[in-house]
Amino acid sequence: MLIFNSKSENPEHLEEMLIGRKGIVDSLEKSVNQGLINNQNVQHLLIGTRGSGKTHVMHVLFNRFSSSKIITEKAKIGYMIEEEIGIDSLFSLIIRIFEAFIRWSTNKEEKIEWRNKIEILKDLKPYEREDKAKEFLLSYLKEKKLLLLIENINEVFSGMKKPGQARLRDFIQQYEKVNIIATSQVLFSDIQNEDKPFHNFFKITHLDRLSEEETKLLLQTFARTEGPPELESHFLTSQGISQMKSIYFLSGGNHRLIALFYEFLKIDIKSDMADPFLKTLDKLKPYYESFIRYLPPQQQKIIHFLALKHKPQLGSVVAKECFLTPGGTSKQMNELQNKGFVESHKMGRDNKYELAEPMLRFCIELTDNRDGIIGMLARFITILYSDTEIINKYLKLKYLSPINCPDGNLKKNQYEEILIYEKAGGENKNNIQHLETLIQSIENESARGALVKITMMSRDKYLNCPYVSESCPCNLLMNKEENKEKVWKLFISELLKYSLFEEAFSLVNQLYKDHSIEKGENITIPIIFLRGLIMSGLDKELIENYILRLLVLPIDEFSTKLISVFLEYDIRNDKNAIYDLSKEERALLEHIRRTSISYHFPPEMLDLRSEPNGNKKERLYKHLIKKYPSDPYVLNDYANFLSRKEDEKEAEKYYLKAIELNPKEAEFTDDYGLFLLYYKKRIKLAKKFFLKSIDLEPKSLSYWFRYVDFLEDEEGNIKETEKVYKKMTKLFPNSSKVFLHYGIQQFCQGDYVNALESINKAIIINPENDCAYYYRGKIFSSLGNSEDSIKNFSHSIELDADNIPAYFDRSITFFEQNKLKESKDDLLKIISLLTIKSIKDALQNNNEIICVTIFNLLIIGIVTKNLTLINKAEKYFNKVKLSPEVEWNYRIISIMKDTIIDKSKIPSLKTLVRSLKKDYNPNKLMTSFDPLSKYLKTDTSNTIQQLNRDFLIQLLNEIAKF
Amino acid sequence: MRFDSTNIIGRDKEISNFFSILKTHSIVLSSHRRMGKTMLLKKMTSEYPNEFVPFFIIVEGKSSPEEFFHDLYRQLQEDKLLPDNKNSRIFDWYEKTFAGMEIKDMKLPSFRSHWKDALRKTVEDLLETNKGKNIIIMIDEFPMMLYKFIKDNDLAKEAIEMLDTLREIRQVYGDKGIKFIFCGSIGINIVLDLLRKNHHYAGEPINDMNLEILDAMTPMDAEMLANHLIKTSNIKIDSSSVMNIDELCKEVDFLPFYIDLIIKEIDINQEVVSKENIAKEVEKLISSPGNQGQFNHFSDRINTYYEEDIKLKAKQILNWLSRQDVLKSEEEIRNYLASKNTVQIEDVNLILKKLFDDLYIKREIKDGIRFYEFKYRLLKRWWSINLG
Repeated sequence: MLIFNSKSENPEHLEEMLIGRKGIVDSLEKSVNQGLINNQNVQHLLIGTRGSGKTHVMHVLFNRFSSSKIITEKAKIGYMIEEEIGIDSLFSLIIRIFEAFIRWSTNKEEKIEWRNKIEILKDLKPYEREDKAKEFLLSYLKEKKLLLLIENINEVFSGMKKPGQARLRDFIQQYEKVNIIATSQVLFSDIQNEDKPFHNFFKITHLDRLSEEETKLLLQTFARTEGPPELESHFLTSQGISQMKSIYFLSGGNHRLIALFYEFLKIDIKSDMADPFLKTLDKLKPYYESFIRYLPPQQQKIIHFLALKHKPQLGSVVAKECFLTPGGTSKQMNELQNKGFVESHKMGRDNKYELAEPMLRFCIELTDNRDGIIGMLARFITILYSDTEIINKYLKLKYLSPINCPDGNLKKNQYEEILIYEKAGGENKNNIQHLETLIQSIENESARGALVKITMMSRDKYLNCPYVSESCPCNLLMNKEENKEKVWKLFISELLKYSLFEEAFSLVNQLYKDHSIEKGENITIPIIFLRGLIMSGLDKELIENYILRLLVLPIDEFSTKLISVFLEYDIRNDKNAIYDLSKEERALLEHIRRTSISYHFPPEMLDLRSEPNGNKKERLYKHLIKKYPSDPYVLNDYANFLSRKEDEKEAEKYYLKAIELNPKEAEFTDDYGLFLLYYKKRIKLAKKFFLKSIDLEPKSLSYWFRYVDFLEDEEGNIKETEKVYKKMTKLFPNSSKVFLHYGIQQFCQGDYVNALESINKAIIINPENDCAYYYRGKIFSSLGNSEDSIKNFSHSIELDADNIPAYFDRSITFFEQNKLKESKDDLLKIISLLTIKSIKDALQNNNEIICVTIFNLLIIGIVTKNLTLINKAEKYFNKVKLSPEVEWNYRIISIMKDTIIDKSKIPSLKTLVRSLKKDYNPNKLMTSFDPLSKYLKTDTSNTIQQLNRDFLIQLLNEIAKF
Repeated sequence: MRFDSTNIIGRDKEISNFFSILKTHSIVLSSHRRMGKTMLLKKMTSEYPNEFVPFFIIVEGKSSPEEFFHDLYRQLQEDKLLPDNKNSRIFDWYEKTFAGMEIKDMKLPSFRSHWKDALRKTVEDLLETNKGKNIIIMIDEFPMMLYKFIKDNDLAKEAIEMLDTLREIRQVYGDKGIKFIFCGSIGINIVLDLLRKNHHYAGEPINDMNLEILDAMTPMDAEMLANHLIKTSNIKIDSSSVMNIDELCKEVDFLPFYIDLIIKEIDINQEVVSKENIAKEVEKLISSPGNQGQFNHFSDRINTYYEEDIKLKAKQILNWLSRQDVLKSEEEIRNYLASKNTVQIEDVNLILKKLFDDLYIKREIKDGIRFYEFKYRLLKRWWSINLG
């Protein structure tokens, strides 16, 4: 019945078929090799059930050994293949070894010589034979070792009995020649009992059953090497996959059975497995029956009982049901286990038993089925079609077919079919029950259809439920506490994963129609939808179409913004659109835009990033890391989180791990560089990592900026900064940003002419770069050209109405031009853009723009005698703790105020100057005093009385002398 | 037969001690399985002082005294320690006793009653051929052979005869240069107990021999062994390995079998000799299913060779001791045992003595009180996890 005859296969083929056993064969080969080289004997025993590939392993070993120069130089090989019958003494074992030499030797003369030697032994007296045989063997080996490959050594030993074994052991010990690699179906008493000669003699290795993956691999290898050719591609289809799954289940990962199934499948690829299954049963029935026939009646009874039960049974139950005593049962079970029929699992003091081979159960059930044909059929389908197909058929019949009759009832025959499949669902019914409740709870037909489809498609992937149990959307939905939006998101991304775009969209549509969306999350449903579209690799045109449809829906502002930018930037190629987003939003879009090919970023991480609660966030990260222990993006993200928490040690660990896992990701080296710079203060090392990032992604501008900023701010290396900027302008000649920043750098160095040139370029490249106009305004201001300066500030404000620096600088320029009203309006605009609290915070924190804004308002209030304005500005100082330097400036302004409001409070100028001088230190004077003194000198209006003006000028002059 | 001793590392101190004993006395050498007894004997056959002629035979598989003699004789011949047939006393004797039968026929039943004479003649031949030398006959698994005579083959009388004959040979020929080493993993005391209890044996057949025990290796030998094993493997070592090798030897109580086992595992799994890997492999040895560490023979040995009435108590004592952190006095052990069974003071002392002789436990005497604990920490850990 063996179709896969490992005795006669050619060596390459055998090697190729070595699925799930290669590791064992390799390590045995290594062990023998090393033993022979180091003159140490090795003894190995492989334990595996019938058909687990023992012969195969031995044959491969034999092939490898006999073709290895090292081994053949140091040993003679005796390969005894399933020839255990009839060995009853050491002498007969030696004869078998001689016969093995004859069988495998390629040397004709040697064969004849061995035959002659056996003839000689036949002529000797019985008690002389063993000695002579040993002599022959030893003289043949000379300096070499003997490497014995013995199959079914349990049978050999049981034939030799204890005295024979003892003599073999003596022989092995006395001459140190023998190495044995043996196999056995089970552990047997001859090696297990302390008083047996071979107790603890072998190093034992168990041949496990093949795993599901290995079974698939073996079947695919069969297809590749034995054909037919179409079977190989067939195994890639979902039907092929489910066939492989059922073969795995039916064969229990047993090599021989897998091969048997394969033979039948070869004949009829498209078969639904019922046919091969029945044929296999037919083939196996006599085989199993012959085994069972020779068992004692009690053991037959036990096997019969276990066969009719579909799960492992407790020993005590078996005893009761089979009318046996517990002691008797355990003894029989022991024997059945030794024979390889039964497997046991320890359950407390008792054991649970089941049949070792599922096919045995079916063979018995075939003649003993009491459940009626439906039960039989249903159980067959369970296994044959795999769970996926049953549930899918069931769902399809019930929810997707136009089966509703006018009266709302199902057609009769479909109803029956549904029943069969429902029954087939059997133990898995629980899994579809909550799914069904969920499906039924959706009123909208398209959403329901979508759910059914996605469930069907994803069931192919997950055995019991479309999702891994804990995050199963059905489970989550059933749980009232769970945020439903999360579940919808999962469904939507799953739908898109299976290219069910329409279904996904109609689900999004439905959700917005029902107003069941809660707002306020970063990763909204439309964004998930967008991401799914991008990941699916859909055509740009089609994506645009979906986006336009999406934008019509009443989705939230943030999503609209993000999606619009994506549309403009990615689909319509407007590269400026990206600057409609803040830095953070841009980062988010960046994550969404990356496709699955370049980016393996678990979707949960996006949700996680927006989690505000630090502790919860930490928990979520830990969970995520457990789930994706080797996803460098997760690790890097976690490292960022840790560094913000200032857990530097841990953060560094994860940064390095992420880099180790993906050393080619510039994001990681960049993040780590920042960490080194800001947390560890290791400037030199940080620089290396920034350079590394550029090295990895030389076309990514952000890493260049990181580096050049570093040079400028951290190292203060102006020469190098210049050099790098120059390089950047060459590498990115169309980047407005590069020229802008270069211009700013030149401006800061006082190189106004070149700065103007750079900024002009930035504006030519991007005429809407508000920042560039602002800086051009500043340059003109520095060059003394207030007109052009105001024009540029105004242009910048036109482009960005919230541009505080532009308002500020313009207000200063206006002030210098004595345009107090315009100056005041700009200052008031700045205040209007900010909240009271943020202004107070800024004052407290010495924010120069805000301090000067408020002081200037006060000054303007003072010189225009505008008490309302003074009060308005002064209220910001209420309950604010100022730094000494701001305090000092405020003191001067208060003095000024008093000169206007209440002259009597003013001490003499001398006293005043002395007291101010006492607390003075350089850099204390805020910039607003320069234009003020200029203003006081040039203002000819009568807003301030002459005396007071002179006094103020004198005061400012005195202070300036400090 | 000379064995290749390149792979037999260490034990030099023990060996030189044995040789110095062997100048005057025979030795009974016992220890647990897997301690390296056979290896040691084999090393003695290849490296020995000039005045000795060592000879090794393993006898576990001999099922009767005549078979023992036959195989011994053949082996001696093979090792060329006997004179040519024609000139030998045994040949002479054989011809006179068994006229017409070839010497190889001595396996026949008619030879059975003559093995003792044959043995004596052979010893005389040995002395004749190796004049002036001390001939060391090392009989490996000697107690096991006797045990099988008694238990499996119903040859208790023959076992007694063998013990007595060998004693007589030592007494008659010992001074002339014949010495023995009886070696075995089951103690010869187990065989003697059996004979005394069930076969009314009252002799003291080994009281002229030195009792020696082969224990774990010295730290230096253990390290030497570990280094040798690493050298002959594919394991990469670095500067930290020295410390780690030291650690490895300590972890396994300097027991050679376990040093070998762990290094092989590390080699097969392509690991480095690090502290973590050593700890991992030791843990695997102790806790993983299967019987890789072969610790089971420690408990099987009690089941197999201890008499029924003390089996249970011996195991109870070991179970309890495996859970104790400190040495326990005889009295504490007695009290514990008394809480489980009815026990006599003498019985407990006897069991403790037996376990002590059998190397399960070690003893310390403080202020005249005997305290016990497991001899090997490794075994203790295994016992406490798997049995205790």
